[in-house]
Amino acid sequence: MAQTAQPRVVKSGIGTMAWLLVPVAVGINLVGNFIAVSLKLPVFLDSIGTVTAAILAGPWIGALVGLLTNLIAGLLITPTWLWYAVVNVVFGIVAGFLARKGWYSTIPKTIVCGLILAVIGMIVSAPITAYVYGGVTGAGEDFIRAYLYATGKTLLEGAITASAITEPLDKIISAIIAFLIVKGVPQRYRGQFK
Amino acid sequence: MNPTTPYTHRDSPIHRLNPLTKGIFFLCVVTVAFAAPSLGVMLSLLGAVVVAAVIARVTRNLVALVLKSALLIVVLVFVVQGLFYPGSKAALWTIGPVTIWREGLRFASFTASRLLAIIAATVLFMLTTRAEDLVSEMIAHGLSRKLGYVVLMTMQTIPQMQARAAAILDAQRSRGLETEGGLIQRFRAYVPIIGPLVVGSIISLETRSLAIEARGFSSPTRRVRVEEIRDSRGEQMARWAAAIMTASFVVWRLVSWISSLIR
Repeated sequence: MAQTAQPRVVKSGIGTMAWLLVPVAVGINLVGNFIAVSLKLPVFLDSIGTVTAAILAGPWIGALVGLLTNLIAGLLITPTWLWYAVVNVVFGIVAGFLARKGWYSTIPKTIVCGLILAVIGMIVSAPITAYVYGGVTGAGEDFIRAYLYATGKTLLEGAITASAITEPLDKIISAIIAFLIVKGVPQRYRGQFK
Repeated sequence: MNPTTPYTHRDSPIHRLNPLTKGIFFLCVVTVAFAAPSLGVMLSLLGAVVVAAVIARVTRNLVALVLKSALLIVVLVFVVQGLFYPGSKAALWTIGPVTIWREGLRFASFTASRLLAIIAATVLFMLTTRAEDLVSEMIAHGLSRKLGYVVLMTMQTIPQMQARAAAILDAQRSRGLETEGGLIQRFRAYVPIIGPLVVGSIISLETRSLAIEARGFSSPTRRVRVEEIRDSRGEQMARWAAAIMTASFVVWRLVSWISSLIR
């Protein structure tokens, strides 16, 4: 027999599994938020899917998940979500790059990632809250922001301060849950997303 | 037909417009709302959206949805700004220790009308456009087919997942999961609810992937649409005109803003 050519695995673009992860991850984001609201928790928990997708399939899929989550939630729930899409996208990108550098391998490192995401979340979302919404979004933090505004702080400062309480809690929990989810995915499925 | 998107079918000229046209006009309205400095512009945009809603015969739906999303925020904006707007000097009312300032109300009217204009435009767009048509048109105009498919699939899976989540919530409750009570207890209830949902969904991904591959998901051959969506030269020109006018408006606003900084 003539010698056979080396089998080549040609992989360009984004794999089917990675594409399919997107609806599931968006679902995790939205359902995660729905459960948090049903349980009346003080945190949004709307980025668990973004972080999970970012860990499994990289920053760009994570970013897409973030974008779609807010777009669709904006359509199905209330348009308030739309303008925060950029925040969720940034989470996907940052989490993806952190995951590539191995920062999601242990719980302590995951907590650090959660803090990083929290800080970024505060910085990116505060201008949106202050300038698009005039500091009012219908969430519980409105009271904190109103109080700070009344005592002379600008809307921007109020937004950052108010989120300083909920964001770290939200992002650390989200990062840990994402970590647990990824750990729960059987090994044989895990490599198929890249 | 997706029962949970707001799309409401009517036989109206607006519904018959190409989805891209509606999309571009929607984006233009939102951009102008952000760039414009005056209350008058916001109110005219809002007025234009309402007129379009009347033509599309979805006025009642529009009002209901807009109120549902925006009423609380608008009220809060008026309250917060009316009471606390910095640098206010002209008092409108004083009731005991509480004063409502004219400058605050003016700022609140401006912010609230902008919010209303944007939300109304969003709702109108959603009421008159089918998601499948919009994605189909975007794919025909160059959007990656896989991306479009994934967006559509996401919109379809979400209601399913929400229904399952509600079912899991009830099921776990009936098995004794504590969902009320202290904060820690409620936090503890979170993972048993989201866990079953997530793990099952991810594992089923492989089956789904095989299924759509078998239906030619990755095939590079050209596709032909079953339903052609109407587009006319008039609409194409209208889209370009709207985009160019909006872009010019934004540029003009940027220039005036920058020059006011220099002065």
